[in-house]
Amino acid sequence: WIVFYRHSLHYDLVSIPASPDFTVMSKHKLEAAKEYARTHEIDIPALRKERNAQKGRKRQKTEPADEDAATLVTALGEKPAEKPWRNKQRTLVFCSRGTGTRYRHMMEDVRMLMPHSKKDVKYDTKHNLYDINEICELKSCNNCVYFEVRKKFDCYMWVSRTPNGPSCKFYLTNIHTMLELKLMGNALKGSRPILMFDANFDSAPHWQLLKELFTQTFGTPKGHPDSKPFIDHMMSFFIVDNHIWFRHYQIAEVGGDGKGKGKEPQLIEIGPRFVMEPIRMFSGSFGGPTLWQSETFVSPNEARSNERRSQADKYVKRIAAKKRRDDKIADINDMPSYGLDDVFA
Amino acid sequence: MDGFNSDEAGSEGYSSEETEEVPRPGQDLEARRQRNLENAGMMSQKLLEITVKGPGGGALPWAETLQVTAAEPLLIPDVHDDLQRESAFYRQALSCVPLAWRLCDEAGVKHRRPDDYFAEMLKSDEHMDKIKNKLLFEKKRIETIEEKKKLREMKKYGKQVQVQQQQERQKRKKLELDRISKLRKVREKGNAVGGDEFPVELDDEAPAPERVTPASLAAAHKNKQQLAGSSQLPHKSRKRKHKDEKYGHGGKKRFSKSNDAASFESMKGFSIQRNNRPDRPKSPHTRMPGKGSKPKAKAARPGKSKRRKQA
Repeated sequence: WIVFYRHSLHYDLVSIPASPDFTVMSKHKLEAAKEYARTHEIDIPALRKERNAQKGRKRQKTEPADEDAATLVTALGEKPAEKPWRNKQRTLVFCSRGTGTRYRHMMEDVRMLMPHSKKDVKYDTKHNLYDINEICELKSCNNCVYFEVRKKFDCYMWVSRTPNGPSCKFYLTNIHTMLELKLMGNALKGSRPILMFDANFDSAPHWQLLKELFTQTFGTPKGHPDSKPFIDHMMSFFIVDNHIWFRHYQIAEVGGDGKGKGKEPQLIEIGPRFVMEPIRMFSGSFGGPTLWQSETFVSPNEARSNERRSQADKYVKRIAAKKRRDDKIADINDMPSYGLDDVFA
Repeated sequence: MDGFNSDEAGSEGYSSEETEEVPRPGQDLEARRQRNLENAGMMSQKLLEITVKGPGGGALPWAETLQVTAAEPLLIPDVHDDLQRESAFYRQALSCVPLAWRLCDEAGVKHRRPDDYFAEMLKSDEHMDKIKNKLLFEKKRIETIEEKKKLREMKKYGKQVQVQQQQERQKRKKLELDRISKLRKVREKGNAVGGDEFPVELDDEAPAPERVTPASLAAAHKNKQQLAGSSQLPHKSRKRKHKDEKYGHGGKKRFSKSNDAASFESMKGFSIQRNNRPDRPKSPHTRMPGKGSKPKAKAARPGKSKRRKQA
């Protein structure tokens, strides 16, 4: 990290090689800068004021340590390197209270897949979801994946772009976690995934919106400090029957020679896998005008209620059928006479 | 659960309970569909808003998102057929991999992980060991089942083969012995009489009873079945057979000492000659047909008083 070199004949300089991102500071650099200031008796606040005055800047909201080191380095003649643009995505992944083991394991798996994710404590209320936006702001996240489990049984997933963006509520089913022994693949933890979408995602505007949402929420941004170099896994989203099927595959290579030529790709499923049914899309985050509403979704409560009603219906139907039969039998003997009563007199 | 509430919901107090949908039949669905179509413009607007722009304000380069879309839409006739569905997923995903590789190469992103690159994986080594063990166990189980099946088949087949071979061996031995005994006969005849005038082999003679020599005994001892003829069972002695009848298979029959209709009528075990042997004492009670119906009445013994008078 730290390279000492002679900038000029007068003093040694602590310099940062190549990495221009001042927001990511190593402890060593800060300490070295402080040490340097102490030994050379440099008054940093004064320097800072001078520099800000020069640039006509008001007081910045950065961390003082960062600013000191930055000030120091610039004051000593180093040009402040330009921060290159970076796609900053941070996703808050958390769940509601009463989630239970099964869904918690799945949430952990989802967190493992996303090195750009952040954790938070269980959210207590089920009624006021709008406060999640504040939590995201506190954690400086711009995406959110929230698992809401109701009746310890039904799992809903919210995917949202936090400050103003759209959000979508899904109903999750067919959940299998990574721990299942039948899912045999494995991949680097933190490597960036290929996000593969079915062609159906281009067919309607709500699918297109979801595609963009997923790309930003689930895809690891390039240059993220916790991300690892190679690409050895892919997350696939398929649309079948108004459901989105999520699969996570390891991209392995088989065959070919040892040098990597002529190898055929092979997919091994890593997990987790689940099925999302989009219920509703909102223009705002966890609220706002409805953009899209599902025509086929039947809530699990409704489904259970229908089931029970049909069971009850069985009895009612049986009684009604019995009554019909009784009436029919009573009427059987009321047959019209055709004037043939005397035939066999 | 009125779906219209959400349109008025502002930024506070939005309840997620209102999103529990109850699609009432008929007109509500139609209205919903209509609204979805009307909102297409709003959705496109939102899409533009959230799309991340690249450094220069233009589109993001591919390396930032790694997003790949398949060429063909997925068509699965039966969603509930697991094998069909998963293989359709697999095929579509696999078809996107070469495209992704090409885009990687164009963007200069390294995708191939070298074999000596060790870093933390999503699943721990212990977990992968468990998976491997399970696979091996499954393989072994299948193999064992196959082997057992094969053995069973082989046994049946093997038994047939064994029986056949034994029969063949017997036949051959019999032929050999016959030939030897005939030769012997011929030689003996020749020595005693001075040569058979018609040295013709009589093949349709009944086989001569075998002479019991130490050698033949040894052979018989080794293979009892050959002496017993074509029967595969060991030859039992008369004594053994009697004992088997008496004690074997539940012992002697329960009604062996009682008569039934057939045994009552039969005269088995009665020999007239034996019956009429002179040394056999006959009691006065036996009646023989045609030998006088009445027995010879003996003189009655005098009473006590008369005997006293006589004595």
